[in-house]
Amino acid sequence: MTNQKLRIYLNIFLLALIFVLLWLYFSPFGHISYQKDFSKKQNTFLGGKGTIYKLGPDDRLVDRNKIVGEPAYFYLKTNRSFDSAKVSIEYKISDHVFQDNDYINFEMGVLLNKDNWNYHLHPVYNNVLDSLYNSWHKTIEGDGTVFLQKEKKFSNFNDYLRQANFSSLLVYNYNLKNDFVLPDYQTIKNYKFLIPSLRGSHVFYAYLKDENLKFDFALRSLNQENEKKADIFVYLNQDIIFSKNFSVEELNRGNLFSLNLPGLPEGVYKIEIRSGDDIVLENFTSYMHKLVFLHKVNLYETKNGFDVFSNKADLRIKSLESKCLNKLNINEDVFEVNQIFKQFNFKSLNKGINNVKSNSCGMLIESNGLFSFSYESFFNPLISSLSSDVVMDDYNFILANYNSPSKKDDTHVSVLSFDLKEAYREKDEYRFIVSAPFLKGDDLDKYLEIKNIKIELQGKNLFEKVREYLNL
Amino acid sequence: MKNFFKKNSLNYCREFFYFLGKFLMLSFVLEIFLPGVILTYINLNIFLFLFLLFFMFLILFKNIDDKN
Repeated sequence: MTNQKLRIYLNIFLLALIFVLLWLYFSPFGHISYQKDFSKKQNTFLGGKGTIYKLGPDDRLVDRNKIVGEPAYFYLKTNRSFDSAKVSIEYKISDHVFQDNDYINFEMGVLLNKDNWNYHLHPVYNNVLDSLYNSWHKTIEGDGTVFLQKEKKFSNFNDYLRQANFSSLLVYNYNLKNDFVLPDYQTIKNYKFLIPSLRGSHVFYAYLKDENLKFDFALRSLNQENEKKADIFVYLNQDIIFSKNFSVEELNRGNLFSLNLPGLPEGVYKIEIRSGDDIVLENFTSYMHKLVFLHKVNLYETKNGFDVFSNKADLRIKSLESKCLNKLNINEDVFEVNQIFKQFNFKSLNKGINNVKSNSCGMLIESNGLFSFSYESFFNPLISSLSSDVVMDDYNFILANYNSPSKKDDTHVSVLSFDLKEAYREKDEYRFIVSAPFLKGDDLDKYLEIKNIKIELQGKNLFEKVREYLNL
Repeated sequence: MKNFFKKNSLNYCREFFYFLGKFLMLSFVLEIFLPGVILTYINLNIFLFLFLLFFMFLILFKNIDDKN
């Protein structure tokens, strides 16, 4: 071969290579598929850093792809944004996990908001539902939702909805519209309750009847150098009926804000305060008699300790400041939080409302349930959801939005659909979470091995992207 | 014959050296304007190392044409 010929062939090869790489970069037809085989222990010699990477953190991994502590994360790098993703994940749950856990629930999610680390989670594997899918009577609704009955009493879920008693219903990954009414609710005139200062995002429910939805509070930024913002949203069912954005100046001043919405119909109202952990909610006065917080209360600089009530017996408690390390009482039992940033899991055997009391100056208390700051203000407007502390004998019906994984040998394969329109994207990366609460990080034989992840992305094609860019 | 073989090999090496140079230059330009386009799929370190080897090799044998 002459030099001339060789040069031509090499130039053609170079142009073809660049063309392929540009094609992969722009994905002109709006769809592309990425795959990562985590079971390969070595990186390929010539390969780049890839599109699915950074499975970690490293201290929660063994052999690069076995997760022993949760949560774990991985990133998807795409050079352009996409609308949806179909994720196919191959994984193995170790035998030791099955031996030691009655309830195994594994979820995966995509980051929606970095300020409050809000992930949209999708169920990947649930051993209780897999077993009930085979033993209970199963009806698949039009939207793919599965309705399970211990004994067949209703032909489908709509039939069940007519009887309006949800006391024996469990939901899983399903948001059921529930017109909750407290039958004996009495308005208390001039009611006022000062709630301890709270840090970061919180969601709470208030019940009202013939009264205004009224709260006073101040949102103050602890770190005035950072450009932070906060928002408040009030929902009736799923609809936003009020929203306000707090500017950086407002947060730096920390002035008192009065939320007062008159003329609202009787019912449960959801109030969401969305902010980073360096925003404090203080001077918080509730004029509502019934008020509960969802999933967490992050108490900040409480003056005389705290007194919290929860309907769940499994509590995850963490101290974020060394001066707040202290003993705490859960009902009659005494526990101690003696390390900062370490999550302590405490469990009480009580089945009713649990009382958590401490002289500490603040802790982060989390559970799958609800919290209130007085016994009287507690109410439960939520339909029970399937979780580790549920006693199945108490329930006869389950409504679940979950597909059982397929199984080959010891490997499970689950396929999930993610909406990426609202997903948070930074440095061309989507951030995914792997949530497996059964992994405590204390036993290396209990692991979740991620073998393979394939992500098929769908979005606008190049023509639509250009039109969107030019605002046509 | 030996010299002919040596000369041809050297010419091929030179062509691969030019090719690698073009590829690396194009990669750097593309990476500046379209970050991630090359590095996502290709590990450029290996090609930079190869380029360096070719460079050293060609410097060592740069006078071979003159001698022939």
